[in-house]
Amino acid sequence: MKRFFLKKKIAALGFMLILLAVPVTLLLLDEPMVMTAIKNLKLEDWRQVPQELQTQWQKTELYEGLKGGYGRVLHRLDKKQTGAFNYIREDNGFIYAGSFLKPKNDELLDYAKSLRKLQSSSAGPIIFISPPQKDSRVLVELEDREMIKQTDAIQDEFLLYLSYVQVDTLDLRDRFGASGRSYEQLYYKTDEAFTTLAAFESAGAIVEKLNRNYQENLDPYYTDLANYQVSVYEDQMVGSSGTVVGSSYAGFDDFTLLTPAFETAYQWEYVTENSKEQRSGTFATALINDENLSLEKGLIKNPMGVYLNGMNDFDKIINPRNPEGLKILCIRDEWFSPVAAFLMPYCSEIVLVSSANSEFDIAAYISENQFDYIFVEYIPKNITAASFIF
Amino acid sequence: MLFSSLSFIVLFFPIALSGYYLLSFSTSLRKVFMILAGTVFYIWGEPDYFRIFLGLLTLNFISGVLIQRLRRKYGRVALIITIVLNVSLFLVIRYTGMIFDSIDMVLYNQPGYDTSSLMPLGMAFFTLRAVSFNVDCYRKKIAAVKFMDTLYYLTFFPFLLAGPLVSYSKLEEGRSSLYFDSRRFSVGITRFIIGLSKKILVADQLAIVSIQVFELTSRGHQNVEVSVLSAWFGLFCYALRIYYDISAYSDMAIGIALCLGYKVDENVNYPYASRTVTEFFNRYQISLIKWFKDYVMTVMIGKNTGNTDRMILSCFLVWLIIGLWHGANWTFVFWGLWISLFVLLEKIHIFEKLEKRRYLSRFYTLTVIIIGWVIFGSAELTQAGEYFRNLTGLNNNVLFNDQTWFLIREFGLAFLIGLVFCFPIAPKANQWLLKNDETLLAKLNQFVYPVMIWSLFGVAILYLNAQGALPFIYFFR
Repeated sequence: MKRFFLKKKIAALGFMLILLAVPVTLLLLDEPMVMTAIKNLKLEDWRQVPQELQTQWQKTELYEGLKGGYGRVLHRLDKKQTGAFNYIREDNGFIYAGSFLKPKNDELLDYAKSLRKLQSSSAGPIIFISPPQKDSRVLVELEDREMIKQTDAIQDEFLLYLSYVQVDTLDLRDRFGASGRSYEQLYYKTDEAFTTLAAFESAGAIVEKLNRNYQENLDPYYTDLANYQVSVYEDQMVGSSGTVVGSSYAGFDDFTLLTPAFETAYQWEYVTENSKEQRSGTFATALINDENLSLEKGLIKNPMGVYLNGMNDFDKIINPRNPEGLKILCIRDEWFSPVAAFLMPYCSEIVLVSSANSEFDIAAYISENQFDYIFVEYIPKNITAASFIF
Repeated sequence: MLFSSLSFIVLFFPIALSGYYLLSFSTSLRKVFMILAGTVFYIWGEPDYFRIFLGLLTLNFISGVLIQRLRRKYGRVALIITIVLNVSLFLVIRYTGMIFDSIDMVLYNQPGYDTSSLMPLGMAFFTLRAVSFNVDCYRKKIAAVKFMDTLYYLTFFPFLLAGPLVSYSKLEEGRSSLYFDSRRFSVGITRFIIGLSKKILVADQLAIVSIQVFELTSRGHQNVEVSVLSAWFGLFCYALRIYYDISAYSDMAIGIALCLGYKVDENVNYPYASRTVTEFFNRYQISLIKWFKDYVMTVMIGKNTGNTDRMILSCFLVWLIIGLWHGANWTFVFWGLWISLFVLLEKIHIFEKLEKRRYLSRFYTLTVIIIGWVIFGSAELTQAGEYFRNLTGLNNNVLFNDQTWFLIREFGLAFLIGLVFCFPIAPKANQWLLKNDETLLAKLNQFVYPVMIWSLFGVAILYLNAQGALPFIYFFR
């Protein structure tokens, strides 16, 4: 009987030591964070204390360390899903959004009609630009077909409806397939976004389309990769999916930064929820957000935020070196930010808006301003009612 | 606050334990500390219901005093008023939505408004504890109601939110000395860790499968095909999940109580090894079923213990109440009726012969219980119907598909572990080791056991940190 209690006493002692080790480790690894957390705690706002503690905890190195351990356990168990099927890890190492349900949207024709209606208030043509998501079966063969969200069907159906209502489209799956670039060059393993190279290909596809279908005669010089400086941040990026599931499970990505090797000068003003900002200078100084690129803060976590901050409520970029260039309005999601940056040499002005910004009357803005082209860009996931409020 | 949360494990629990033992020199100070700890434990998760919580504590203390001090006749009136107040508050908050919902469905064929979010967390268990406290005062099972003792009992955090339902006198009986008892403490800690591991590594993993399969079923076979095997796998995962959830919570609650020097009765005792439905519910949520027997069934039957008709009616009504107590949904009513049917059949001796046939009786019990879980786990009766059709292939669904293999591939290990340990293998192994403590295996166990406990704790913490814990299935409002 003594032995029965002895083993329990040893186990209990170990447990108590582990509990004691937590505050010691926190103080050793995260002392500034702990002090900030203590200072931030306001007893008069006691209802928020649990949430505040949780927020501060998730900023600590101990939290990240434990998350790394979790990732290693998942690896050992050869788990292909995590987060209750929200993330599926394929044999190719890529993380995909998981779903047992086939995507379905009965309102796609209505969205197409709303674009048709918008076209009537525009001087220039509307082109719907359709980038594929990384789960596109046109680009990659996936083993667990049923469990990974499939977005091709939505994309196909919506492009079909747009063709029916006579709105021009650009299906980037064709370009990506023909680009000669590997799937690994076009998408990140740890993020749902496409890569900088994929964004650059998209800009090239748009220029090609404008030349081919609208006789623009745009110079392909600015969409030739040879005229750009390529900086590769090897294994320095963990995207949004990787951040959620932990880098030890998801791995790391390379991040490629492309900046023009030719001379540039831009003025960029943008409106966020809280402020209105202005920046000017070369491509690198005006359009690149150094904060999202800074490795001093750890790994790159927001690849889309590097160019033009990713998403603002309103952006207007002016190219004083090309006053006769195209004037474009783009109603878009985050994915278009790097594409817009690469299109700038051809343009005098690009305005980026989101239809999710309910205070902005897009139809009125189009009527008031003479744009050469209206681009509407949404990835399949974002083809929802909220994106088509015009 | 959840036992299976980092804030509890690394913050609340060590502080509560330290405070409890540092104040062992003064009973009064210790009681004040524990009342405060219980209050913080409650309002950590439900700050908006702080006032209701304090109001109920005050009401039950005053009623306890009145019931004891008034003469028997008036004491009974005070008891009835208190029970009506406690129960009606619970009924109004929980069932108003269900009633309006049902009326709207009949009149307008659309659901009404949902009031489930109005229900303070732990209210279902708190109401039962408050009723039993007042009845025990009336039955003179509690010597003299004191302010501090009442609050101490009602705010005792190990049992505050989801049981086990321990009566005031039982809690007092279970207390060891005021001082630190290293044996109880170490057994309590290991019990807590085992409970935590059961919750995080088995129950929550199996919950992922069962939630997914029930959710897919709710969308209808026209929209999503759930294979026959997926439906069965999801159902078995649900059956194991529900057992491990309650077993884990009981382990943690009893373990914490042991750490504080209190030994209370077991709340779960391997119910899936039962040979009858009645036995199943005597081994599953033991304290809850016992509560309904002691405080509802006894009152209904009264002195007419030999009256079969009255016994049948009481049994039927008690199971109806148990079903409804689980939630404001018609599925719980039907579940209660389904279970009561077999409990009654077993009471009228039809199953005596069956009980002697080991495998057949277990098969019968599992079948009844598992079918009951389909009704219990469904959000609506139509969903339960859809689930039954998926189980039997009546929806023209395939036997298995990619989805089935994926579910089994990802959660097969958790399922196997869950299946093996839901039968009394661990206690039998423990008993063998105790009897043969000079064998090499027993000696080796001295080293293996602590390492196993630490490893379980370590892995559970890794999972908890990364993906959090699901609320306990009985943590309903």
